[in-house]
Amino acid sequence: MAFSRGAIVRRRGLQGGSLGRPTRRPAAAVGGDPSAVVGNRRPAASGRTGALASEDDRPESAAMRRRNRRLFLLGLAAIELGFLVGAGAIFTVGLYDRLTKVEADCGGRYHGQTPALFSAPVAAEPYLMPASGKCDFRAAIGRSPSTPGGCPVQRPTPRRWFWPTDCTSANAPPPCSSRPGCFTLTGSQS
Amino acid sequence: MLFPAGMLHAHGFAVLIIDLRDEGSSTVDTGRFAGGVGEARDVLGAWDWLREVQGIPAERIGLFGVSLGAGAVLIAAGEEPRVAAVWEDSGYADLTQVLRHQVRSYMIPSFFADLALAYGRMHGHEIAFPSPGGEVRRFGRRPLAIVHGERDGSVPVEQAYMLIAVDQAAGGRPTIWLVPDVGHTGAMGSYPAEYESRLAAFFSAALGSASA
Repeated sequence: MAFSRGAIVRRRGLQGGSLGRPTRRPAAAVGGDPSAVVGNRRPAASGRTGALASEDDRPESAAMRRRNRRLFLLGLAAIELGFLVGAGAIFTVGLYDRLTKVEADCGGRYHGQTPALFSAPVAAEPYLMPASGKCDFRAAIGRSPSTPGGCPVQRPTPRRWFWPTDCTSANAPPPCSSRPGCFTLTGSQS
Repeated sequence: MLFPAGMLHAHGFAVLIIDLRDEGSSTVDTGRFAGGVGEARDVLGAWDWLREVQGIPAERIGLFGVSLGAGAVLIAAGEEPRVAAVWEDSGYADLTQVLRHQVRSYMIPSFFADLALAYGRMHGHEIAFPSPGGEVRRFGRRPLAIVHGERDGSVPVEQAYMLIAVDQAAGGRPTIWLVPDVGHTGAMGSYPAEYESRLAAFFSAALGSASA
């Protein structure tokens, strides 16, 4: 600050003095209280604007910049939130798939092996059941007997609609697994 | 399933084993397990078949289930009051809690399990209700055996405690076997002889002797 004040003094001295000597300036401008110099650059309290109008706009510009920055950050946060929600949704669907998909136990791995169940070497102990048969349960889920294309028969109780066929029946209904709402249960008995 | 089926068969019981929907050779419906809720219908379908086609009286038919199958037989017996007895091994009372536990074991916040269930519900797959624990309330004094490994990492043993508490509160006196040093469904493999004797004794007492 001292150097600045000195520069002002020297410049003004050159402009104002005829012999190159500094003109006497008010004490406040020459040295004294530095706030007086700064004070001259402040907007006048009396409402004098004029040449200092652009300086008067500064507070509003700063507010606008702050507001723009806030908006920018808000938008950024919204985008991030959107990404998070999207990623969370994808993750949730994947998790649901992982939790409920039938693959860990029997689905697929032992598919088609049911008739051989009782001879499967599951233990060293002779837990074999020679007298076994295979039955198919024709099942129609949620279909009424009169539904065209539905499974042949359903149980009267609404909680389950199974058409169990006798293993030895020659009149077993045709497979309905390819029809909507139907599926086949496979079982083995000893 | 073959192991306990063989045990029962050796003691003179007739055994019917079914592949639940989406499992084994049964039709793949959705490719997903239904939490025991849908599978219970398969169990009841087989139960119907035994009664109506095979002519076996209801008081001579018991249900056996392990893990998901245990949930299915518990729900089935809750829905069908004529089911004479149930042996459940490593089953659960509340699937939501089990899934939360499993999700946590993957180091994932457990609320994702609830979100996943909600997602399934939105798509018409309600797999957590009715819960096996809720259905056990309807058992009354019917014989129920609860077997669980205390080191079960898939279905915590607390699920067995819940089933026991619910059955006792409903007036039941469950047969309890909590095996201290085995994991999920491990009792039958770790203690086959004891498992066999307990299993045969339970169903003999509940259904009458196998040769009757």
